[in-house]
Amino acid sequence: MNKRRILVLVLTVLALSVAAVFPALAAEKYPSKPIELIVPYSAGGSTDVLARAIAKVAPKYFDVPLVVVNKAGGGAIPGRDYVVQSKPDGYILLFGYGSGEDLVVPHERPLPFDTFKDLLPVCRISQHSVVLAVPADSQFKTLKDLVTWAKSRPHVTAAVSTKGAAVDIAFQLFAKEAGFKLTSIPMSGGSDAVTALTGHQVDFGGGHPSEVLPHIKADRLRPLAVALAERDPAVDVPTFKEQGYDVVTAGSVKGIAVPKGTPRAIIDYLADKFHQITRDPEFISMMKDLGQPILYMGPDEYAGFLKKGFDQYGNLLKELKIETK
Amino acid sequence: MKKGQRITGIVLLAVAGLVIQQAIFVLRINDGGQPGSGFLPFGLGIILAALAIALIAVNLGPDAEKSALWAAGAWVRPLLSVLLFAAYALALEKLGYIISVFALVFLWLMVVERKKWLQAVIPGILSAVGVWMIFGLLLNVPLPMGILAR
Amino acid sequence: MFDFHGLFTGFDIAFSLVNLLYAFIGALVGTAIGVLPGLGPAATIALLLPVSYKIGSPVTSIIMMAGVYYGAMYGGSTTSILLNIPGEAASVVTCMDGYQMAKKGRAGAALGIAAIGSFVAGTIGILGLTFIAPPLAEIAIRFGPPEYFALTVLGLLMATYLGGGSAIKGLIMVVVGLLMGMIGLDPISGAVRFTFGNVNLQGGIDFVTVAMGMFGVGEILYNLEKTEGVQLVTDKVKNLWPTLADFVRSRWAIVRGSVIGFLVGILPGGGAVLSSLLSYATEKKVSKHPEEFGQGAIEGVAGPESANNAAASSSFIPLLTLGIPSNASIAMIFAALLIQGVTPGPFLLKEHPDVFWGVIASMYIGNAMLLVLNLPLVGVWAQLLRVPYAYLAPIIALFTLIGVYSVNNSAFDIWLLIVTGILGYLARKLNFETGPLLLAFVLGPILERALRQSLLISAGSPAIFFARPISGAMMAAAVLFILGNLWASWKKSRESKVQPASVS
Repeated sequence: MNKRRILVLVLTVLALSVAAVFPALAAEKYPSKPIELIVPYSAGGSTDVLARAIAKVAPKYFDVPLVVVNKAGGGAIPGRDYVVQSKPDGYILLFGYGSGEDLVVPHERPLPFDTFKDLLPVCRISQHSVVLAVPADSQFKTLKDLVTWAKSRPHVTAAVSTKGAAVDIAFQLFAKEAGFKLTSIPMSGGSDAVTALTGHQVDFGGGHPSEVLPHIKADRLRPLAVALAERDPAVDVPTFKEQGYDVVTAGSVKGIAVPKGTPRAIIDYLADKFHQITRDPEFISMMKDLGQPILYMGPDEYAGFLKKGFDQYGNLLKELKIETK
Repeated sequence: MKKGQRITGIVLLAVAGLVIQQAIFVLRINDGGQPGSGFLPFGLGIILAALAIALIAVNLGPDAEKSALWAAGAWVRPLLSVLLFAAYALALEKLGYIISVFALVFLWLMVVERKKWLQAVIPGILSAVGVWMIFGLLLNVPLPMGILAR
Repeated sequence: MFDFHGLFTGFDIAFSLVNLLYAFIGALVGTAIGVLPGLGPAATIALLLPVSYKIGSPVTSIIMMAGVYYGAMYGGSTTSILLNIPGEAASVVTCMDGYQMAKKGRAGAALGIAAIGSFVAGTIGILGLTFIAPPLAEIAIRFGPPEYFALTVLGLLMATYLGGGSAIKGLIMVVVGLLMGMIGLDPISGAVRFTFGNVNLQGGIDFVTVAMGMFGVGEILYNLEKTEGVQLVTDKVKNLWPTLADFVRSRWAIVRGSVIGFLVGILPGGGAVLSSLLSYATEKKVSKHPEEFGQGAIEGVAGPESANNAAASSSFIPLLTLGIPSNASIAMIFAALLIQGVTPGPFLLKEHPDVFWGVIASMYIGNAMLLVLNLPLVGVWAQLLRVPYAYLAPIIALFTLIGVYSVNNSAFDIWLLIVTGILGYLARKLNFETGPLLLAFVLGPILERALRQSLLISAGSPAIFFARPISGAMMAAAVLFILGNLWASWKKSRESKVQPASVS
C-alpha cells in the first residue's frame, strides 16, 4: 500500500465520521448514500423484476448501492404518493413511472397528487407493448381469421389483466376498428389473464411481451399483432397497423421519476447513469431474457412522450366509453 | 352477556345499512344484465341485516346471571397497549425502527406491566438490538431508519 | 418411460457440497421467517436476490430459494400453534386446534405432529412432482373461472362449518369477512368500493394485517385483561413429544391431508388455503369425535399442516412444467430465474435439465433437513411459553408490528392492524369465532371474481357452472354437503326433543 492510498483511506474514514455527525455536510456531493428505487408494486412483477435487473448492474456505474424497496398495495397509488411526499434530494426514486396508474388511472378517478406536476421524469427504460395472442392450437392463424370469425358472432370474449387498463383499452380499440362486439374479461393481473388464455377459457387474449413471450416460445400461444407504431423488438409479430387496423397505444411505460423540486443537475446525473446502464451488455442480455425491450429516453423527451400517451388514453377512454363504476 | 350481543346486533345492522346504501347509491347492482360492483355487497348487506336481527331476537330478555362485559378496570391494560401501538405507528417512520422498538418495549413494561425501570430498560435495549440484528443485519429488510439515517 | 437417469443426475447435483450448504441455508432462513410473522417467503426471496447473484449458478440459487419457500411453510405452523398468529393464509386453520393444544400444555405434541406431517406430506408431494407432474399441470390450466367458483363455494361452506358455536354468529363472521374482502378496487369493473376516500384502501386490505390483528393482537388484548403476572400456559408444559396415541390418531389425517394438499395445491391462486380448509373439514367429518375439533384435536393440526406442505411442493408443478407461477413466492422464484437467464417452463427440462432435476432432488434432501432441523426445535419452542406473559406480550406485539410494516413498507398497515386487533378483541369477548371471518376474507375475492368472470364468459347464463364437468361435480358436492348438514341438524333436533339436552 502506498502513501497516497493510506491518505485516501484516512480521509475516507474521516469524511465518513464527519458525515455521520453532520448529515447536512455529507449532502454536498451527490450521491453519498444508498439510493432507493421505490417500486409501487409487489415483488416478482414485471416492474419489480426490471428494477432488480437494474440494481444488479448498478454497482458498475454507481458508487452507492441502489436498493429496491417495494411499497405495494393501495392500487400502486400510495407507493407513488410516498415518492411525491419525500425530500427532493435524489435519494428516493419512483420506479415504474409511466404505467397505467400515471397514464390511465388519473382519467378514471381522482388521485391525491398530480402525476405530471408533482413528479419529474428522469428517463424511460422500457415500454411494454400490448400483444394480441391466441392459443397455439387455435383455428385463427392470422388477425384476419380472427376478425372474420368475430364479426359473425354475437359474443366474443378476451382475457385482459384489469378493466380499463392498457391491455383492455387496446383490445376494445381493436374491436371497434374491426367492427365486432367484444366482452373483455378482467382477470386478476396479467399473468392470470395469460393463464386463462392458455387454458382456452376465452376466444383471444394477450398481454405485455414479458407475460406472453415464455408461452410463445413454448408453442402454447400464437401472437397475431402488437399495438405499437413500429414492431416491438421483443416479439416477432406484425403491428395492427400493418394489418390494416389503426390500433396504436403507449402500452405500459416503465420509467423513473423524482419528486418535484429535485435539482436539474441530479436529474441529469441520474439520467446519464441509467443511460449507461441501458447500454451495458449484461443488462441487454438480461432484458432479452425478461422479454422487456430497452427503449431509453432522456428527461425532456420522456416528458413529452408521457403527456402524449396520457392525452391519447384520455381520448380513447371517452371514445370507447370505458368507465369504471 | 345478552346486552352485549344486542348492542353487537344493532352495530351490525348499522353496518348492513351502510353497505346497502353504498351498493345502491355509489355502486352498480346491475351492470348491463351482468352482476355489477354492487351486486354481491347488496346481497351480503341484506343477509347481514337479517342475521343481525336474528342475533338480537335470540338475545332478547334479561340475562340469567348478571355479568358485566368488562369486570372492574379490566379494560385499562388493553386500552393502554392500544395507545402504545398507536404511538409506535406515529413514531416509526419519524424516529426510525430502532428507537421505536426500544420505546415500545420499554413503555409497555413500564406502563402496562408496571415493572421497575431497570426491568424495562434492559428488555427494551435487548429487543432493539435483537430486532436490528435479525431484520437489519441478517435479513436486510428495508425498515425506516428515521433520524438515525446517515 | 420415466427418466431415472435425470433424477439420479439431479441427486448428483443436489448432493454436491455447495448445493447441500445452500439448501440448508435456505431451509434455515425459511424456517426463521416462517416463525417471524409477516415477513413472507416472497419478500425474503426478494431480499435474497443479491445473494443469489453472488452465487452465480442458477441451480444453486433456485435450490436455496426453494428451501426458503418450503422452509417457511414448515415454520409457519410454529407461531400459529404457540401464539395464535397465522403467518400465512394456509395456517389459519392450524390455529384453531393448534393453539388450543398449546394452551392445554400440549404445544410440543402439536408442533411435533406438524413437523412430522409436513415431512410426510412434503415427501409425498415431491414424489408426485417427480412422477406425474406434466399431465397434472395440463389439468390445472383447464381450471377456469367456473371451476374456481364451484371450488370456493365448497370452501366457504367448509368455513361456515368450521366453527363450533352458534350458527348465527358463524354466518355473521363469514358475511363480515366477505365484505371486508371487498374493500378496494372491484376486480371486474374497477369501481372503488368502501374506501370512503382513503387511497391506502384502494388496493384492499392485506391478509397478513387482518390475520395478525384478528388473531395475534386480539389475543394479546384479551389476555391483558386477566390479572397481571400470570403465565400464558397455566398447566405445566408436559410431554414434549407426540405420544403413540397421537400418531395413531393422526396417521390417516396426514395421508388424507397430503393427497388433498397435493391435488388442490396445483391450482394457481389460493390452492394452499383451500387445501388446508378442505383437509380440516374432511377430518372433522370422518372423525369419531367431531366435538373435539376446536378444542385441541390433534387431527385438526396434522391434516391441514400436511395439506399445506404438500401444496407447497405441488405448487412448483405449474412453474416447472408450464412456466406459470401459482403464487407470489413462486412468482418471485420465477423472476429470479429469469434474471439469471433460465426460463422456467416446458423447455426447462430440455434446456436446463440440471436445474429441473437438481431442484427436485434437492427438495427430497431439504425436506429431510427440515425434519432434522425442526424436531429438536420443538422442545425449545414449547419452552418459550414458559416466559412470563408480561415479557412475552410486548415481544409478540413487536414482531407483529414489524411484520405488518414489512409486507408493504407502509405505516398505514399498522393502523389497520390496530383496528382489526380491536375488532378481534371484541369478537373474542362476545364469543364470535374469527377463523371463519378470515377464511371468508381470503376466499371472497376469488369467489366474486370467478362468479362474475364466468357470467361474462357465458353471456349471463348460470348454466356454465353446471354444464362443465369439473365445476358441475363440485356444485353437486356442495348441494350434497348442504343437504347432509340440514339432515344431520334435523335429526339432532328430533333427538333433542325426545331427550332434552343442553342447548348452547
